[in-house]
Amino acid sequence: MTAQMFFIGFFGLAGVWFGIVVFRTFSMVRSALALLFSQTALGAMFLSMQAEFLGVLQIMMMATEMSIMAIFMVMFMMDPGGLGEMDMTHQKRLSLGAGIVSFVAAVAVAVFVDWGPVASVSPDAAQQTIDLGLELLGRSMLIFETAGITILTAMIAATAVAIQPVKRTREQ
Amino acid sequence: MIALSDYLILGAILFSISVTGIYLNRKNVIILLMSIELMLLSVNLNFIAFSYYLNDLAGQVFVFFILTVAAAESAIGLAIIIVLFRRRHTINIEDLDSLKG
Repeated sequence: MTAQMFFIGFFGLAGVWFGIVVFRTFSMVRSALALLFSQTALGAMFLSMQAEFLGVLQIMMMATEMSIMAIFMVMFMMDPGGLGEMDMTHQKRLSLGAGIVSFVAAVAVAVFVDWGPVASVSPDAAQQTIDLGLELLGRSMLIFETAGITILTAMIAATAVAIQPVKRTREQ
Repeated sequence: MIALSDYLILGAILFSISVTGIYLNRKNVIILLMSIELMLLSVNLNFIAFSYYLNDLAGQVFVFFILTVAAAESAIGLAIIIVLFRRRHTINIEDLDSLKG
């Protein structure tokens, strides 16, 4: 139990720390990598809550997604390495205020709401994966299929939006 | 033993970091997309914690769908950034004020 608490505490702190680093670093690529580390740390926390399938899925998807983000940063930002020490932050006071207000609101909801009886024992990781598979192919089949269609639509839409328009000349 | 509210507070911290990031950054659309990713991640953490502590699989199904939507959102967002850069030659948010009237 102590090892598990150490594991969760370590990865929780790492997730928060890298989440802060995303907005503090000057380098765009480093910022994308910091977000990847933050997501990986929270994926590891999913593993500690026996949600192995989703933890691994989270880590894998975010690894590819953040590397694509890093490539886009290099492509489109004029100073992706942060060598010019340009200050990327603006309206510090407003942003801190918004952050504090949302934090207080979320913590108030988390602490003061009665979430009902907590289950004394949860199924282990293998059982959770089996249950999730049966759930996805049973009661939640519609969600599963909608997810597939969403990904397909996003792929086609992204390609259609980004493709270079061809100038047609009418020949008659 | 770690309680449910500990995970919820961690999710709240991550959510407030991402809200701060959205207001803090006014130059770069990609950083905005990354803030939204962080926001979705904190919601995911809450769903997994609820699923584990209340022993209900619906939370994990939600996380599955949120991961799909996050991937779709970043794909479309990056495609829009490509078009934006081709037309305006910038992705600086402060230059994109055509809707201001």
